[in-house]
Amino acid sequence: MNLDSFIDWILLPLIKIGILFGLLSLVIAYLTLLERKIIAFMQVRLGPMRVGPHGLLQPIADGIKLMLKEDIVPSRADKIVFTLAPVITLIPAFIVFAVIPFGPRSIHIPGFTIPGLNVQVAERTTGFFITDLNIGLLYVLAVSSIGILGIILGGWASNSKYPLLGALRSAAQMVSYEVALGFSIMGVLMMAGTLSLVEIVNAQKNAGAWYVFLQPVGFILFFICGVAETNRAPFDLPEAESELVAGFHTEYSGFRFSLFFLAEYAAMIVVSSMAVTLFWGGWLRPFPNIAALGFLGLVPGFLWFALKVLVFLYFYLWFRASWPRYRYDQLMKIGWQVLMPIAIANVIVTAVLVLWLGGSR
Amino acid sequence: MKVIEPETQERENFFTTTASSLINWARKGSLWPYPFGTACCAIEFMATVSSHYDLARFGSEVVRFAPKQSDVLMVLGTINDKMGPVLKQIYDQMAEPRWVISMGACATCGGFYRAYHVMQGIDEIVPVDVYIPGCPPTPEAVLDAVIKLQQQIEADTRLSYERHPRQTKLKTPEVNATVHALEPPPRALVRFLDDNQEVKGPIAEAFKRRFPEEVVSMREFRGDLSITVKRENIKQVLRTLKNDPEFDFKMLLDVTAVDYLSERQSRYDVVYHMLSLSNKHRLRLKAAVPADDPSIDTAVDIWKGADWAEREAFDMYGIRFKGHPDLRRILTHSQFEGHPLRKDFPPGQRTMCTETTDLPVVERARKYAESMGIAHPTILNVGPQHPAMHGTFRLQVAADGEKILDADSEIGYLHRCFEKMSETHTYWQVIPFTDRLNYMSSMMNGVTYAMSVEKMFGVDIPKRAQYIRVILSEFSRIADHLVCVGTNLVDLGALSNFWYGFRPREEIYDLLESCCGGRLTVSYVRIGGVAQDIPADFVQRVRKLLETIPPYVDDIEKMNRHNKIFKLRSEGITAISAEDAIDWGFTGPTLRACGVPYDIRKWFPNYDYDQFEFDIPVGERGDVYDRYLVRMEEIRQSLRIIKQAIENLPEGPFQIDDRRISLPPKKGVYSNIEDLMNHFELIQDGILPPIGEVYSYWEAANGELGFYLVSNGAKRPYRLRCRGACFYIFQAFNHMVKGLYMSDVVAALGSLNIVAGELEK
Ligand code: SF4
Repeated sequence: MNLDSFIDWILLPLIKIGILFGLLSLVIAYLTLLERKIIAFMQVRLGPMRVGPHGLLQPIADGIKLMLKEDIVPSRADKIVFTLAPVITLIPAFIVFAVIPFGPRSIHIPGFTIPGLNVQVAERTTGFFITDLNIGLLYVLAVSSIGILGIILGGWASNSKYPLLGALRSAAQMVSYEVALGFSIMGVLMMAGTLSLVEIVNAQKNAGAWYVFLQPVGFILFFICGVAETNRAPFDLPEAESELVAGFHTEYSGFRFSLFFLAEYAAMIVVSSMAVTLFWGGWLRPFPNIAALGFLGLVPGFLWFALKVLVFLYFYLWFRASWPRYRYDQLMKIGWQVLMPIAIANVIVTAVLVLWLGGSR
Repeated sequence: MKVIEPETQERENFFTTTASSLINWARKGSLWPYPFGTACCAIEFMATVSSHYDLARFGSEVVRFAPKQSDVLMVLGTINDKMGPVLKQIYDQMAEPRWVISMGACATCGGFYRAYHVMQGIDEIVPVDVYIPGCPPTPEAVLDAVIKLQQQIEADTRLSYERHPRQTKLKTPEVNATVHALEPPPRALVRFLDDNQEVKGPIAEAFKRRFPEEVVSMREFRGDLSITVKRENIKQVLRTLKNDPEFDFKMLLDVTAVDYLSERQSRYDVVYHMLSLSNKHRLRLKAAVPADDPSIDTAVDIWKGADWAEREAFDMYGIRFKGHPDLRRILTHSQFEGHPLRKDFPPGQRTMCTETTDLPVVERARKYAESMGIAHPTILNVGPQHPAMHGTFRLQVAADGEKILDADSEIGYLHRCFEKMSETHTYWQVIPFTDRLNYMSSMMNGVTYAMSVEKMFGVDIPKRAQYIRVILSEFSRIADHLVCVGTNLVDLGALSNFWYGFRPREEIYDLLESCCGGRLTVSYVRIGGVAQDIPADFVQRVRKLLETIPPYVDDIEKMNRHNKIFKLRSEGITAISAEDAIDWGFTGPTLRACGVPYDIRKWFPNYDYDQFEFDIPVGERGDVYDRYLVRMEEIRQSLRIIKQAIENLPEGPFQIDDRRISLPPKKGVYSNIEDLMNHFELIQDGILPPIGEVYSYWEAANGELGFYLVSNGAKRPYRLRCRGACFYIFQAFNHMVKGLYMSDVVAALGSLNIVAGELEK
């Protein structure tokens, strides 16, 4: 292996992974605070105020506490699976981020010589993403659906009725919404003609419009299914507090419980990021083709990306604060009888239009 | 404190200070509560979580109903012997480090329930870190307790926690908790009851015509018609009373019993109260039952609603109802010994409870499965500490996946012996007990109870007192409905409504507080009026409230009325027909949602209700959605009533000027001997109503609240029976949820507005 490929394939990704992992953990932690704060404001309260100024250290306190809490494994649980389940849920939620493009390929690293060794390092450009996989979209879909496995296993291994019910609900829900979710992004796929997430964003730039304007139905479907996939209100049945106590993680305590928690929030960010990438132009500034608005370009791409993701996260919280949740059978009905047909129709219509208008290729 | 060698101590400290203070900082900032709410204190805890106090500021709003994920067990309310094992189990399941806060007098020491079924403080079974005094403690006190706990944690130097040694056995309760011994009834009461009178009136005459043989005695007292019949043919009499159009007593209001000890040949009376909706008559029917064979035919096959009431009479008096399909104990726990409301049962005699039992549904499901040769359905235990069961109800279901095939419900986890307690306290002392029946709207219980004693005296209270009672009761009704709607919606997942509902409630609390100092349990009513006059700014406050409440109500309406998801979840769920509802003994909003406009305020008006303009909202299908609509509209109508009442608020005394009932003015006490003696006697002896029996009733927030009072002329009620509206509503619950989904159970329970204090007395 020569030095360049070492840098390209090992050093740079490792650095990026490190940065991303740190940032992500922080973001997730603070997302919990954001949730508590925003919902509190919606409910005319203040939310956490005492731990750190305006409650800013709250997630850290929660984290430390959870980590030091006694770890109980129910005596009748399947110990190995019980321990494994939270990890199975958490890991996919994190590794999905490997392909999500937070910004364009625009980081220039000038060439330099390592003094003393007299080794020449070439000039290179890299992007705000860990890797640009040419099947990025597939990768996301595939990996993110592993998470569900952890939930099912967790609920099953607890050997207790409420968690099991929660796990079953969750399995049914995720499986059925996954299908509609898959169909909802088909339109984007056809228009962009690529599976690489970076290229999809670029295609939106070339098309002159974010795909949300060309694929409004697709977007709405995607977001609904995304909310359902992440088990959030109004689809938060698997952990419906008033029905199933705490759902699949009822029997989990301390650190393991927090892993489930982290996974859920990570998944929220994944869905929001995907929505932004596929439909809202990723890192692109608003109106990327109008030169007069060029000053918007002064804000770096990844900030635009973060901003857009935040908007979606806000929606998540907003839903949670205002809507009742569906019932199990209603949820299924909506998934199969409403969303699926619409998604398929959307695919067909898009396909016809793409063929007819020659597509964007 | 441990004695450590100074050297090592220093070293240890040096090593651990930073780490342990960081850990303690985290632990104290992240105290997630497990709200073990059972009674009135839980409502004040809810107020602590609500916008005005916002427990979230301390990072403690993350309410976890999974014991393994919570840090501090907050015991909110009375824990009785039946609940004891449940509390212990929850505590045992919590992960270390764990703390316990005991909120309120009840949890701390049994409060003023020194009675046969109430644990005298939870430290009998779990260790407590912080006790909060008060009954109920104010939200400020709860916040203070959290701060106290935080200080404790801060001072803690342990890095890791051992599991508390488990207390495996429950302590045997002490048999000493009581206030007064009971007195036997004087002859005069028995004579009064057995006295046969010539009574006029359509029902009495028709009854005499139809059952000349059956009538033992008949009398009318303060407008209550009361007929005693022989027990042998009771079934036929009851059936005729229900089905014959001449009587048409379609609604059985109450079944209970009274114990006259050996003063009478037949020791017990079984007492039926019934109501005819078509001709607006009420009737009290009694049948004497001897001590050596305390049995009588059941009425369950005539009115479904007799089910639980008969079980209760069995539980309390040991009267066997022949033919009752499921005559088990209902309020006391399964290991309880004796029948507590018998006059010779010591009020404080507790029996230890160590187990929770399965309900008949388990057996039924097993038998069914075996007979059909199929797999056993899942048996799911919902409650009593299930978040949707509001802390005290228990449902056991046989489920197929999420679908409920069969269910049974169990109550009694908050049975705190109200009826026994009222027999051991004077008429005045009973008022605080009544506050804790339906603690969501405590004012109305007090009013209804006071009405019963006033009826016994045969007096009317001054107009001003009437109006004060009306205004505050209507506010209580609003507050009650708001909590009901709010919690119902929270159970459905619509969180914010709870906070929106609690804000106006908090303002109503303020009004009540300005009148009497109490927020939740007000004790503002006195027999013969109210405790003191309303404050000078009362009228302004009320006017202001009339303006501030509607926007909150509108907010809730906007969020839900046309909300698709809410409608999906509530329409058609537990719909019940008017006939069924009447047969079960439904009253209040739950009955009106079925389209029956029965509202005591219109049908049997008192306190000038006939002069106020207001409408009775009714629903059509009697489902969860209709109940919601009816409640929301009733809030508006109550506001209308208040508006008219406050505009016409009369001047005058706030208490009756009757020296048998109310205290003489202070000026007189200090200046003349008659008033002084009068004051002395009232304080020493309390008030002494005449001998008699009355049933008084009122439209409380969730239906007809009735008090059946028997007085033997002494200073304590001889028998005080509370007919709680939700007792009759809740017994239909396990029948209503059959065939529904688990999630519907949650929606249905919230919509019935079951308040444990009133349900289980
Ligand atoms: S009676 Fe009610 S308010 Fe008083 S301490 Fe007990 S639970 Fe709390």
